[in-house]
Amino acid sequence: MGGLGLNTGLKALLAAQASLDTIGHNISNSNTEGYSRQRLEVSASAAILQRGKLIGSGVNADTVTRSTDILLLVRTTGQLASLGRLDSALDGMTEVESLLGEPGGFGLGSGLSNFFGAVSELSTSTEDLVLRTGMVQMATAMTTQFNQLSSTMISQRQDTARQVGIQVEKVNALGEQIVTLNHEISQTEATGTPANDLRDTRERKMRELSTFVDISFHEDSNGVTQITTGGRLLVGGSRAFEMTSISQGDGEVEVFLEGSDRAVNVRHGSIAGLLRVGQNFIPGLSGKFDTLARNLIFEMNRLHSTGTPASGSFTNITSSYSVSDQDLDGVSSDELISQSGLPFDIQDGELYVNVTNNTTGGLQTSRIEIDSSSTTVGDFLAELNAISGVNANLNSFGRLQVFADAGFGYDFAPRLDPAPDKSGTLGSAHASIGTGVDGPYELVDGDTLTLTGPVSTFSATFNDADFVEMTEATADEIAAVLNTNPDMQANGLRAVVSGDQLFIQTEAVGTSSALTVGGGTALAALGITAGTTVNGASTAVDIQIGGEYTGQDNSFFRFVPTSDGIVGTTPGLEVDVYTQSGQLVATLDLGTSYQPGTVLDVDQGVSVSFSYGALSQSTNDSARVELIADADTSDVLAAFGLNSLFTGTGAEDISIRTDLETDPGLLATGSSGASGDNTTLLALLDLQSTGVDGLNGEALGDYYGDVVSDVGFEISTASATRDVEGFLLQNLENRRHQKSGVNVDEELVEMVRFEQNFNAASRYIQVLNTLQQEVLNLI
Amino acid sequence: MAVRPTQSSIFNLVSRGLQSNLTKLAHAQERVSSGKEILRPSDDAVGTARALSMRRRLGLLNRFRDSVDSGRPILETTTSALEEASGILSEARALVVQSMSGSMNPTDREAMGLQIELILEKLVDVANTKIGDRFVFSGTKTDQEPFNLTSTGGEATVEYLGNDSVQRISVGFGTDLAVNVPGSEVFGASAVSEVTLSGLTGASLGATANQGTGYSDVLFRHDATTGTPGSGLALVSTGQFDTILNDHVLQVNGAESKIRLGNGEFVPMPVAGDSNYTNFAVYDSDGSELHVDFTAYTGADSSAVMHGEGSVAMPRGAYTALTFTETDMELVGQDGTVLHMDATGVTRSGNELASFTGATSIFDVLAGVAADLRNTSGLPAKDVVDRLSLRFGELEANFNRSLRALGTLGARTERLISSGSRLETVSLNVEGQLSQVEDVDITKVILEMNRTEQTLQLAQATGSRLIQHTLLDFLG
Repeated sequence: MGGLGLNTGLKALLAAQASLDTIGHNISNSNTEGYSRQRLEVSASAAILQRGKLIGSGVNADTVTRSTDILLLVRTTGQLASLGRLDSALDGMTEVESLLGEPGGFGLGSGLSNFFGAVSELSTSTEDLVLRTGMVQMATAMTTQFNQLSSTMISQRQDTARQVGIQVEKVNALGEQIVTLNHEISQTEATGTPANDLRDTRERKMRELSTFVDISFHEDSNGVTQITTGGRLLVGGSRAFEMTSISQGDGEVEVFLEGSDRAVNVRHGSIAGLLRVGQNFIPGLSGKFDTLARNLIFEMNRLHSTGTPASGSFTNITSSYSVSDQDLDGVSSDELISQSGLPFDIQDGELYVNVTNNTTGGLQTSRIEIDSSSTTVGDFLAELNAISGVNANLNSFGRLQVFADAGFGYDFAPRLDPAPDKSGTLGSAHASIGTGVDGPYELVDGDTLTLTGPVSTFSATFNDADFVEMTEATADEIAAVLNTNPDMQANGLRAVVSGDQLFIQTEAVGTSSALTVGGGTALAALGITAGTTVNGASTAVDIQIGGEYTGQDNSFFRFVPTSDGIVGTTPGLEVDVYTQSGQLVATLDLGTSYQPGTVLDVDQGVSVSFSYGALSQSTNDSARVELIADADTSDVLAAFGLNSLFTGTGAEDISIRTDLETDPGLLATGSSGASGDNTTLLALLDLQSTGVDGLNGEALGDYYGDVVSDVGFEISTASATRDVEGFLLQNLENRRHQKSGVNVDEELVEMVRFEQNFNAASRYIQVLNTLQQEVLNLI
Repeated sequence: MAVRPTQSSIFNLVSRGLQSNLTKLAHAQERVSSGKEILRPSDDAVGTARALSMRRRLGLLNRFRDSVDSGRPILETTTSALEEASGILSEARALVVQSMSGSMNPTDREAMGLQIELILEKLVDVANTKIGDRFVFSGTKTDQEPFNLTSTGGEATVEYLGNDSVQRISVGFGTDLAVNVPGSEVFGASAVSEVTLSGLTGASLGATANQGTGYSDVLFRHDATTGTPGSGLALVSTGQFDTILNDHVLQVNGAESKIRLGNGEFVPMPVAGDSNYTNFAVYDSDGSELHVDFTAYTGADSSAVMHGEGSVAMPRGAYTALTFTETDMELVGQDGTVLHMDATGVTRSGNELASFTGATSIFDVLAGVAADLRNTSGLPAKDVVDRLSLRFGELEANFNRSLRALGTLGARTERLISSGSRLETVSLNVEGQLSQVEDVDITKVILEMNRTEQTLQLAQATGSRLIQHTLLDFLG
């Protein structure tokens, strides 16, 4: 016994002590994050053969092990990454959500609403300057809200990019730490001792890492853990790979890993959440606000551009948008309008320009046809310049500038010309003969027209060079040829055009003025009988148009007498009225029962009166009045931003036209320019409820409502998912606690046990000692 | 694995439980203090969408109500102005009726003319009624005084400077309501059924149509008298006082000492010493007169054809000599009036009043009445009364029109008021719905709060017990 027994006692004492130390360690770390409960593993020492018997040699304290579950760790890191992504995405999204200020009524919704309120208020008293200023201010308030939303969203996005940068740094720091820990663990464990606490630390770091990015890992035989993210190595056996984030000025950001120029696809973790907010959520939302602002600008400008301000017709306006040289040939006027760098699209359509002579009050309406596939900026300028009293050019910034000659003013309003028969093509006092058919006319090169005026008989010749297409000669082209003919001028003759019909007239009026169409090869094409002589008259039939055109589409009324006769005198004298489509809408009785000057209703709100005088069907009299519902069906005014209400192209730069701020009098409240005309404002108000093509057919307010509730949906969905994921993580944490956590009571029980164990071992040694003493006493 | 709670998991459990209850309490508190169920879109995305759309609707309804509110004073001012105008017009009617009575002498009429002129001015003032800065009767040219009174040569003319447009306000989804009546409609046009010539010159309308608006005078001037009266009679001052036009037979009956012109009655001749002996006027039945001097009267019977030469013109136009064979003579006035006249029946000089179809404003009528009453052209009383009765018809028509306009306005006001009250009801409804979606149900939240509070207290009690006890308490 002796030596062996004491040794056994000693081992027991030491084992108990080591156990108590471990228990102490456990208790001290019972609140340490990520700590795994440790246990001293003991085993019975190998028995020694003594006196033919195998006697146990006591207890061996083997190793200290920790209670851990590697699968739980895998699942926890996955869960942490999911949760990290949701948490950071939610943080970012709720911040944006609070920027909207809805539904409390402080957001853009109320801005829009207030603006329409101001428009509505002004529409009831358009002459009130205070209300005008009010509308401009409400518009400014609304555009400022748009601008602020846009800029805060941009800064929010940039902020997100910065946060990505910070978190990337944290990832790198964690990577470094894990590399160090890997090294220490492999060093320690090479000696055969498990590096329990180092492993705990490493697991903690890994869990922390997984809150930033999704990771997967595996441990090699040396205890070194390699970590990958998005399939790319983040922590290798001997070193960490550096993660970097590269962000642009607008807040676009991408994450890279050392050794590759391909962006890492981060699927989970808070970095993924930030990326989702910064790269999808915010740009998507700003995109929607841009769409809203853009459509608001365009739709409002379309309506405003054909209005007339209280200050009357324009003398000089400059477009808000500029054209630029797209094909880089040094000139911008050769670009198609549709491809000239203007922010908005044009349609195939027409633009009506009214020029008012300020002295006489006379109105001249001209029509410009716009074809989106062929009209160039230069064509448009030429058409504008062809209108007398109006000049147009591109200024050095590529903006369209339209100004009126002195004494003239122009506007783009849908007006009903009260005196449409300017050149006297119906019941003229001039000697006047019209073509029997409408253009285009099928002429042949060298066709002639023989005319006799007061001075001489002469022949005008039509040459191929004067026409775009001789077989489709337009009335305008023929008139241009005739009006430059010196014989025409010498005889005091002129050619005028009404619609597509050509008229030849004397400049002079009265019964003594006369002209004869003698002959010529062109007569057949023009539908005039050879040898027709026409005389002027002492009184011209004055055609006056009244009322307001209520039709939906642009058209015209053409007045054609059905026989020759004197208004109000000749029995059965009638005038037929045709529309653009050739439909007969009315037959007006101007016979004996008609008192000249009496107003007759035609159709679509338009009325007409004829004064006393002679009408002639035999000289092909006709006159037409343009009926304009929309003075700019081509949207060219809105595309250029002429007489616009708003400028800019999106939420970022939407703004009210600058000169409206300084002079609210320039606000076009109606089309006529009369101070109480509110038709344009009423049209603007209709935008509250009319669907807009660019907004999927939704009205402005509805679209905005959808955008806000979409944000709400996205956040509430993410938030619900977050709760579920949080609960799952909680479960995993609980399980980790069950597996690895320290229960102090349990430890105390263990402590008591090992205390008793220690006591017992001490007693054993004491007994051995007593026995030995007894033996010694025997000596 | 058996459940193996640990200290830190118990701590976590307790603190998490407390946290979640506190969060619930805080949320409830937030809702109670703001009074709103939805504080941010994510609280209730569907509710947010509904609340936003209802808010928009409410905004629209409020705007319609504002429009109604701002439209009412305009309609009311217009109505009261029109009521005043009708009053003024009935005053004018009474005066005209009175003036047509035969007992009136020219002085009385002139005084009445002045009164009518004052009435005209009063009416112009009423027609220029303003509310704030806006003229109610000028169509949409609301900054333009609609009626401008000018006086040329003692004759008042009133020009309409407004337009015929109607201003509308939006009082409902797609419902526009007119709030004004253009002055041209109230005080302007009135249709005369046909063109008429009234006067005593004997002129009639030609075959060809005429054109003009309102009224126009046609002036027939006597230029000279030709022919020699018989019985030694002579023309006075070569006929400068005469009004005869065309041929008239001057018959002298020496035996009975009577003289007669054309279809007139035989009248006794003056005798020497009478004041009119050297300048005696004989009239025919149309009132055309011939002045003769009896100084060289022979006493013989005679019958001579006297011929008045004359010319015709529209006001301020050039005179054209008449041959009295014109059947369709075209007269063109400076304002574009065209009149075709048959001059074959003309017997005397004087004015014909041509009245046309077209716009005759009440002001023109009143100015005409005033001019007729003052009778500056010295028309005979019969002419004046004739003209007055014609004007009276016009006045009647205008009076009726002002009543019709009042009716229209009344109907519009009615519609506006009913729209207003309907809008009120609808917005109350929408407000109620909005409140249901957006506002907090206080009872519900408070109950919820109470429940959460209880849970919290229980959690606190059990939690404190749970974490208080360890084995240490019992280990000696």
